[in-house]
Amino acid sequence: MKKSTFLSLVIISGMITSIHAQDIYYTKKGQVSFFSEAPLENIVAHNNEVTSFIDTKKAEIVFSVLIKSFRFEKALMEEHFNTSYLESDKYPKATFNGKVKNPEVVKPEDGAYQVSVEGTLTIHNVSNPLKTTATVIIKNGLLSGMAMFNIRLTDYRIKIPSVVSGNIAEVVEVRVNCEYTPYDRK
Amino acid sequence: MSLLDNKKIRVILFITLIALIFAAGVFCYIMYRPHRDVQRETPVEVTAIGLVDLYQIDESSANLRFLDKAVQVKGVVAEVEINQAGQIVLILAGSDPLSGVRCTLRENKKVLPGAQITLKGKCSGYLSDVILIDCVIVD
Repeated sequence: MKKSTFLSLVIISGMITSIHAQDIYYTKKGQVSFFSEAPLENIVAHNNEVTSFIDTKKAEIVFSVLIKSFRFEKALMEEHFNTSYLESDKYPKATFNGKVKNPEVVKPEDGAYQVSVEGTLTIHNVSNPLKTTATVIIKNGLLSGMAMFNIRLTDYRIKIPSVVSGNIAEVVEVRVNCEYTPYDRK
Repeated sequence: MSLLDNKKIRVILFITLIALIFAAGVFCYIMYRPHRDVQRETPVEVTAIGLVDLYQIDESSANLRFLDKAVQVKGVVAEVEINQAGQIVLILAGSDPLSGVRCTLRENKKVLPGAQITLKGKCSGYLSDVILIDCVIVD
């Protein structure tokens, strides 16, 4: 009885590690930046603590971003961004869950591959579908991904008071840049 | 005779000028005031193991206690990594091998895995690890 439990445990854990070793890539230090270009002011913010997983077998990709990890040049912007616009005390995370629609274009050898990604982006507790192209780069066996897309603030119920509307763009450009490692150790 | 020779007008002009300078000063102070420095705030003190446990038990109540606060965390360095921006990230071990406290350092310092360390930084929340940013080594 005991022996069989032990055996099945060994088999199951063996299966889990083999699944992980081959198909799952991750990062916990990916980058997401956004850019707002408005007549009065350009705003840039960077986040270096992005977690992302890619399941190459299922062509699935997920991102989790902490709103309070975005760093701005000006303290005032960072404060407004967190308290008034994104309400990061109430909604501390943004997430994206998606699928690569044409995973077959990515080859195991070194190169840059254009893929199209579709999924759901959740910011400020509001979810919207998102479609974008992304670049998958394979170099020396390492996998990285980059994407750039625009989001409309009103789609995520982010309200900008009219007093500062000249300082903040209605459409903000988001850039994603993640270098992945195989998920095998943990 | 120029308007400036009138004493009343001179006084009004002078007051207006002072008011304008004051307003510009206030504006610049608000627009360009320095970033909040968590290092000057009184921190919530906790061990790395305790912090991870609290987040794993109940994320939203842990957020009430730690999110956006200055947090001083004590623990053992399990891993040292460099992020894509070239900053050093120390991972302090939690009781669960899958989850720890990821601390992005404000200034790069060489730290070896295995070291017992105390860090102070701002808690920006929980992904699969608790994230502290803008960290400075206290001890």
